[in-house]
Amino acid sequence: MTNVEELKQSIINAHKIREEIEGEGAIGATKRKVEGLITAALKEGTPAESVINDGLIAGMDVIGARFKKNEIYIPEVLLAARAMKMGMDILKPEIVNAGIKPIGKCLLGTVQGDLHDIGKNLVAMMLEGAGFEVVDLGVDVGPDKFVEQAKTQGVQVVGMSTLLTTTMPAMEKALKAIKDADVLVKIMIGGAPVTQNYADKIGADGYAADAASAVDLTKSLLS
Amino acid sequence: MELTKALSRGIVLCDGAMGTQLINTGLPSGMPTACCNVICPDRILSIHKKYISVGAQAILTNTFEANRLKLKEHKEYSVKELFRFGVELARRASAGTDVMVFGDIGPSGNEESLLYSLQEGTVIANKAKQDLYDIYKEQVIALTEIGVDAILIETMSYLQEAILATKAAAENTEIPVICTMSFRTPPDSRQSDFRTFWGDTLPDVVNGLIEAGATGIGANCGDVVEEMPRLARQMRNMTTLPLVFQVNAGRAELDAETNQTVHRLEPAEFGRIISEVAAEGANVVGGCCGTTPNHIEAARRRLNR
Repeated sequence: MTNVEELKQSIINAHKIREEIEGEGAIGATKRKVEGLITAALKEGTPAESVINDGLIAGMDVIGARFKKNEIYIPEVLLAARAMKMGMDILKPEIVNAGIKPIGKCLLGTVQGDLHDIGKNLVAMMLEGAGFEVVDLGVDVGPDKFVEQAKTQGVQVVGMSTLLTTTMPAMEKALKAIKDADVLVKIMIGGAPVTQNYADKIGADGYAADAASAVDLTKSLLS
Repeated sequence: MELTKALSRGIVLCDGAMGTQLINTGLPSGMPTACCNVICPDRILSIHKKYISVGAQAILTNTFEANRLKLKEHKEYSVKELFRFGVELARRASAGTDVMVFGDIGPSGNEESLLYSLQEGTVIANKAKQDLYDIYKEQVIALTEIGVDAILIETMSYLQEAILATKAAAENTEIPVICTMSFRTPPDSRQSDFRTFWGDTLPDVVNGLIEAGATGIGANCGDVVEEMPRLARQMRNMTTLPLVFQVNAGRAELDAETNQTVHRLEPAEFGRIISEVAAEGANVVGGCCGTTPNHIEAARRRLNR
């Protein structure tokens, strides 16, 4: 197995790393493993871009597909995303040197009146895991803030989330505000009570049922 | 009445939803519903009384998600204050009756701590676990200071957190501690086993909660309304502990015409499901999101048959 292939496997199996290295903290163990593989791959002359695409992102692709099929659950995804993030941090100088650009930039937020963010955070992690740059506005984000940030951040996609039916109208309001402001972005929505029908009704560009689907949707909105 | 005594006499019927009842009559958005205990206590009192009037034998304090993480942005309210008001309102509504008051505790909503708590044995994991434990301990102590008949930790999606919450309750109070989790059936028909939203299996849930010190376990909310009787049967086969089941009125939907939240499960259907859940071995039954006094009344009639 090449170092990059092994890196991909470490992302996929990030949740198992603690079992492999007995007695060591899993965060430290994951970091050491990911760091070792990246350093070795770069030393061999593998371009940073290939380390990212064929190692880190390829690993997260598998995680996303397994999550969609209910073969793994949120804890495994969170741990894989964390391992991926560690890898990206280690590669930061290489990314700058090589001038590698993210494949797109997204703005995310939970809409006004809603304080729930586990789903939205999961989408952010999966998007980063797929190679996107993510600007996360947090929770209880009003229409004005969505518009202002969509204008100034240079994003291509805005993702809005809500867990409550009562705050779904706030989603429609924010979406209308962005469209009225003529910001050239695609808008996708999601959250437990949200449906494709609702997305169609309010004129969103897309709806995703889970974090892995949100990544596929973002890619298709950009193509 | 004491919970054990009540259980020895038969099925105990709880109240229905509080949050969705409040929302339907207009709720200040962006804050935990428990803030209503201070802002509009009369509405809470009147909802409690409605449930009691249709035959609820136990009511839940309006204290869901009133933890210090959720109140970070609402510093004008303290956990202690919201819980004190919540217990007092439930006590006032049930004064002069046999109706029990269950002290309600919801999930912390903090996946960062949960993630750290996965990292066994590290300093950061121990700190994260301690933080979560303290969040629950604070709520348990606030509930027991004035006095409730049981602690009900509910809508838990992740077993590790449910275990920490149950421990925090069991280690800091003498009254019964019940923990109920939310379940889903995977959309893939090849896997028909019940799991929590975070993927915990049913045997792990049952064993984990009992080991943590729960004196009652069960299920609430989730997207398995029609399957609740089957879930009750499976749980009954794994434990002799009291089982607590609170069923929602179906998935919350936004009515496209009115922009109002609707739950489609009719009271009569709800009553049927509740009676089946009880027949499969649940000891405490009641309503979750979207249920109304009409739902509880329908359940009362079915259980009285």
